[in-house]
Amino acid sequence: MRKFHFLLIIVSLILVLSGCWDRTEINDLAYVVATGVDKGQKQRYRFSVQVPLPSSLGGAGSSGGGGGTSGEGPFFVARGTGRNLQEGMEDIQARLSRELYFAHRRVLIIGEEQARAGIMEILNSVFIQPQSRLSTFLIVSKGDAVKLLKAEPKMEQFSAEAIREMAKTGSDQTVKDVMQDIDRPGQEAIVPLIETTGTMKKDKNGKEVLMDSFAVFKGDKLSFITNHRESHGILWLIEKMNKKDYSFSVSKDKEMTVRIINQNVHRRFTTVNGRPKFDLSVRVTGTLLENEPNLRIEDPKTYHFIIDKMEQKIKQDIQIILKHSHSHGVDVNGFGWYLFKKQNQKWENNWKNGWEDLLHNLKVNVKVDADIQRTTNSGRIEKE
Amino acid sequence: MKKLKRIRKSKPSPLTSDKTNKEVQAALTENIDVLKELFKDCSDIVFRPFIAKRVKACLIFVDGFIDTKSIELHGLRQLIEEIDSERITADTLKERVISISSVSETTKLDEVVSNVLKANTVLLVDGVDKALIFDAKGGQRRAVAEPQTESTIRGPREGFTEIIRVNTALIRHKIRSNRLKILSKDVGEETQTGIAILYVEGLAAPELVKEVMSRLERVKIDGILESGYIEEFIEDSPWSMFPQIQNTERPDTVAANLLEGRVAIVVDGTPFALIMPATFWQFFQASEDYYGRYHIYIFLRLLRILFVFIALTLPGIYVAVTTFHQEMIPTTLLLTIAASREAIPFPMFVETMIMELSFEALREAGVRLPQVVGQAVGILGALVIGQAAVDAGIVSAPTVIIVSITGIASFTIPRFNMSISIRMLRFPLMILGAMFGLFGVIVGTLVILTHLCKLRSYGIPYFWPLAPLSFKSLKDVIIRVPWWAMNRRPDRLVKEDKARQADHLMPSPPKVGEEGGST
Repeated sequence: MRKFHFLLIIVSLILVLSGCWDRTEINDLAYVVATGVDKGQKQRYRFSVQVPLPSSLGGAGSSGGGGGTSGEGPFFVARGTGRNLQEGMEDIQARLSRELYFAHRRVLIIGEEQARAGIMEILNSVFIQPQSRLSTFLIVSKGDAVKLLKAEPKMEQFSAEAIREMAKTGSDQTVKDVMQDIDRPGQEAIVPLIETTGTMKKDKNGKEVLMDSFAVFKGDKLSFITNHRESHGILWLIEKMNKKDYSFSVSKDKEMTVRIINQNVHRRFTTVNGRPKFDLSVRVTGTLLENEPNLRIEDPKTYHFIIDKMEQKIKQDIQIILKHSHSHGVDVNGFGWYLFKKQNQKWENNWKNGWEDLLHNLKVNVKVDADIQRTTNSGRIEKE
Repeated sequence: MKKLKRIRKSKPSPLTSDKTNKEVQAALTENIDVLKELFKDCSDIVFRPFIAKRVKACLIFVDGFIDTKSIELHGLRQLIEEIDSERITADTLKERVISISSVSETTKLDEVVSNVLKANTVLLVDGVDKALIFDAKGGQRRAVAEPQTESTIRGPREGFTEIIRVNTALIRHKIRSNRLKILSKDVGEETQTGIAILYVEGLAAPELVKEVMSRLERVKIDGILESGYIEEFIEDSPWSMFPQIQNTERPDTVAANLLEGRVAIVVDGTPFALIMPATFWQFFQASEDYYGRYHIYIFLRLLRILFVFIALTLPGIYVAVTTFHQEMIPTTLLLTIAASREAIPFPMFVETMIMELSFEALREAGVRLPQVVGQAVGILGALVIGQAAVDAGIVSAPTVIIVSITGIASFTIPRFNMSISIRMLRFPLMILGAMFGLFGVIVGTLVILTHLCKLRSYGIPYFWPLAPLSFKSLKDVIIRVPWWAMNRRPDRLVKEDKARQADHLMPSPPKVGEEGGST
């Protein structure tokens, strides 16, 4: 009986003493949805976090609703500086009534300047911190990252959500992927680049977000930013053109648009004079969406004519980006990583050390095999 | 504890009963005197003396228990008209004069008393040293009606009544076999409640029947007013929250269970029959499952099991996740919850507890109210708890949704006694969730699960046939296979006569142009 009482007391003490120690109410946390990292002065970082304001999100039953004090969106951007991420967050925390909570951060934006200086330290601190997710999307911003956190895209309640959606449908590069790419020999990271824009034209102080180019890294440092055609080339190479539209001109001022439904890249290599030579064969299938010149695609001759034009343009896209990156010594397509996997011995002995020099003169043969498998409506066909 | 032991040691005093061991005398007046003494101050006992051709006689019955018309038609009138000589014996009366179908005789005055109280009519005739007992039950009782607690869309619309004989007849209607045995027993020193133990010989294991009888033997109580009294005396684990004996108002449910080798107990004075042994899954099966298209009922059974988990754990998980594991909620949902909770003054646990308790109170208030007032409660609950509390900023809208889903989930359980157990257990899980997060919820659920697996009902594990696993019997647990596939009776219950039906009963009518067709 005494034993029973003793046990009862112990059990109830365990319940009372050990319970609730790490409990936090939902409304005592500040949910960080995006972080920006910019280069500051003297080896310091400038950090900024985007935190939604629940009281102005207009949920049912909340007395708030509508915008905040300054008529901005239902979020605010807090800023701080520090020598590393944690110190920066401490700095921000000192100005916040609610505890910063990083488990819901889906977007990490790194400013262009910081990206040129190196990103590994930041990625590593994301990796170390238990709250943050490795599936956070990594983005490089043109100009300061804070500007993008302050952007107010009309479609979403805050820019982090918009950037996340765009990154997901774009190249889908998470912190984990980028860290892997940086660490792989003969492989470089490619990170989507965003900038602020106006609703109509490019505008540095616009409130919308634009994502149409890529930041190509060399090691953990930004090497160059792609232009429009190079971005297409990268999308072809990383096999992310699915469900995207691709336009090409057939004759003067007459364009056709194809929606890509399936696309893949095969790499093969041969060794010529002790040097690797690559064959890239790109397979593309698509649906015809727009047919400006009103060509009869059913006709085999016309069809081959169209396909030729399309294949040529794709080939050019790929060649442009390869040429540009190889001239910077950047292995954008991971040829080195391919050799590392397939011919490890030779890679270690012959190619590893002089890989950058090899890249300058690397022979890459691109072969595109395109196919338009379906059309939508045939359109108005002029009688012949 | 010492005191408890002492109490346990002292034997309970035997219930007092004033029995007379007297015999029925030939002289009528003597008998009447004794009986009148026994029935002193019982104004509803009627002594109806009459003289039939110089023979004195007396009818004794309880007013309101008997069918006076049939007594008059088949008993009294014939007695008065046809009695002829002075050489009357009990036998001649029984065989030649009285035309009521059920007549028996006794020599004991005790039996006279008990038969009068059991709604029989006793005839005492001067010069005969036996008492005649006719069965002419009547009076006003509730008719067979649709069961209130287990209504169906498809299926028989009859339910048990308060009269035991009507109830056993309803079951006999379903199983017209001489193998259906109905044993009778009186329990309750004062109430003398008749109970009937039903089983199908050859299907129910003899040990099971013996065990039921021996457990019933133990019941020494002054009165049995409902089968719930008996249930608590004969179940396996009296401390458990879970029902280990199924009760039902439906004769078809009883019949189906008897055919699977179970034993049923029908108690006089209540429409609820008991069925044992019961397994956990039985409480999630409605009689309708077997009458409708099986595809739909497979889906509905899976739905019920899913919703049991929801009814048990959802409030606990909600409290745990929102106070400990905010990372588990999708961002948008989290922000919505945060937005709606911005003005709420209480912690999540208190808020959820307030809502759960008010829901439970609302349900309890609605159960026993007259229907007219019940509607008012419904409106009050929907408006006050559903809308006004949210608008006033006392509780948040997501909590209201969680509580309503939990409520609805608990109503999907067909048996009320199981659903109320599950509903009660969600409160400890909520407390554990508020203290230890999901860890607490999981530990709590495991404790409940372990307890369930440990329970037994008359030797059958409560989780059988899932644990211990019996593939053959799984056909009718989580899913319900079509009838033509249910070839065997549950293997743990029926040991000998396992085949329920002929093999290969799946209908395959001949196709057009085909000769004969398969058999």
